[in-house]
Amino acid sequence: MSLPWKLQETFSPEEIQFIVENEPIKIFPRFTTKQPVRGNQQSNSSVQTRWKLLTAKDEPLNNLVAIQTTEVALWIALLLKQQGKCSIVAPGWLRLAQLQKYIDYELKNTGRFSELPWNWLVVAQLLFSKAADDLHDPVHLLRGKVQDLREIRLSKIGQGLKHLNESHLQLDNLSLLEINELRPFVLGVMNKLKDIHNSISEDQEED
Amino acid sequence: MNIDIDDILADLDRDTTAVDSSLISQTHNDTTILGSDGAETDKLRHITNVSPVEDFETLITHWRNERMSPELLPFPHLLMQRTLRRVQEQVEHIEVLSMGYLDDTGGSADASDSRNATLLSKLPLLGMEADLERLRFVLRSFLRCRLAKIDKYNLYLRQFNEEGAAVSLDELLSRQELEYHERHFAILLKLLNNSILRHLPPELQAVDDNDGSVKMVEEPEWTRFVFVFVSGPDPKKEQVPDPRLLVSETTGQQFYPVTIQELQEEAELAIGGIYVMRYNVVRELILENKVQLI
Repeated sequence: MSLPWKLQETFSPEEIQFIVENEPIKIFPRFTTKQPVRGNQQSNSSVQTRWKLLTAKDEPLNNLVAIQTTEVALWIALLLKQQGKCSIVAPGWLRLAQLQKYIDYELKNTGRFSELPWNWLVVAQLLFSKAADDLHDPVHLLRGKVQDLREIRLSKIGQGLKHLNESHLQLDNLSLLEINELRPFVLGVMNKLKDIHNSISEDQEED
Repeated sequence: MNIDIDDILADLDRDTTAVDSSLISQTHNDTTILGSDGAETDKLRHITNVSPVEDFETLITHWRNERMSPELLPFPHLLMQRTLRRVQEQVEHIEVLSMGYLDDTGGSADASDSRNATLLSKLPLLGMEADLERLRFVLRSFLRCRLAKIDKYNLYLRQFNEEGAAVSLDELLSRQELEYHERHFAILLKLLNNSILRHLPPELQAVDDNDGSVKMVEEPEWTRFVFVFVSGPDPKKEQVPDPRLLVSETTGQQFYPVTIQELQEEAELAIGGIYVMRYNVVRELILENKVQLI
């Protein structure tokens, strides 16, 4: 068919990353694109190409001032970072202290997930691999904390799978990547349970 | 004062959710005369305000919904028209820009300085090409997903052409998709007819026989489970609170009450929550964009 069967019921991890890359993130640019208001060197500055984007806001990119934080889409930030033209400001939750708070919360409340942003796994992975020098804390410690969080949440998900049923399920604060890896299993099991339940109730009606 | 603004909202949403808005606005027309003054200006303002970024966000929502839903969702005609036009313009814009670079390379004095300058001036070009590729990827993936569904529900979709269908086929599909659907069905039918069907007794020759032991027309699996995120009404678009939205007495959270008919069960969809739900339960909320598939 026109869509590969692997993608028919779910997203690939790359597509999840694509979705996350559209989110805004703060950067320190290392170059200036803002046109000087009263500069008379028109010969030089008017030649410069302007950004004109379709999927992300382009005003901030045309008004970059070196070392002044700006918010741009994550994929642009990574592109600039690759060229050495900016450094990325890590989001507030990607700090050792903050991650420790989340871990404590996860351990204290066994029945629920902590309020991490929906894209935490992907963002952490992207920043660790592409912008490791911009993070405030040593990357190996952050990696450790993220791994801890991941494992705690995985074990909770494992617990939660006992409650699969034929009516519905509530999974607040689960991140997109976690949902995506659960999806085929959870939906498959619940669909089968639903079918079985339906056939039972049909039998009862006939009796 | 409680004005029913469903039709206006449907009007605003026409290009995005494409519910049968003409039908809705006709039936509700008399109720909204009261608020029509404010609504008209609001509508105009909104139409002039469509920005590429907003359109891209809606496109992403459409794409994700389409990928996850068991049925074929209505085609966002206006949104796609705008987006395709923008892609075309952007391609031309990039071409014109890169023509400019050909002239530039002539007179440059300092080697290292000019290299830095060219990198800086080419950065926007790099960004714009990447940006265009990203938009194209979403479009391509969206359309391919729809084509796969058109293949799958070939026979089912043909029923929409018959009298008494709730939604007409040209609203559900784009022009090109309609053509694909027609021709693909004709080719498939020819193959089946020539290879097998003509050897069967006449009463067994129909390909869309629903009376036999097994239904031959495959319908979407309406009760399939899907993951949903309850985003709630868009705060930018809706001033009047949603009448469907209830406030829970125990927690003070806003939620949508839904009923699971097969089990005679009530469930609450709290705003900001993630649920695994049957598709038919949340279908209307999805078409109204109150809930997103994830």
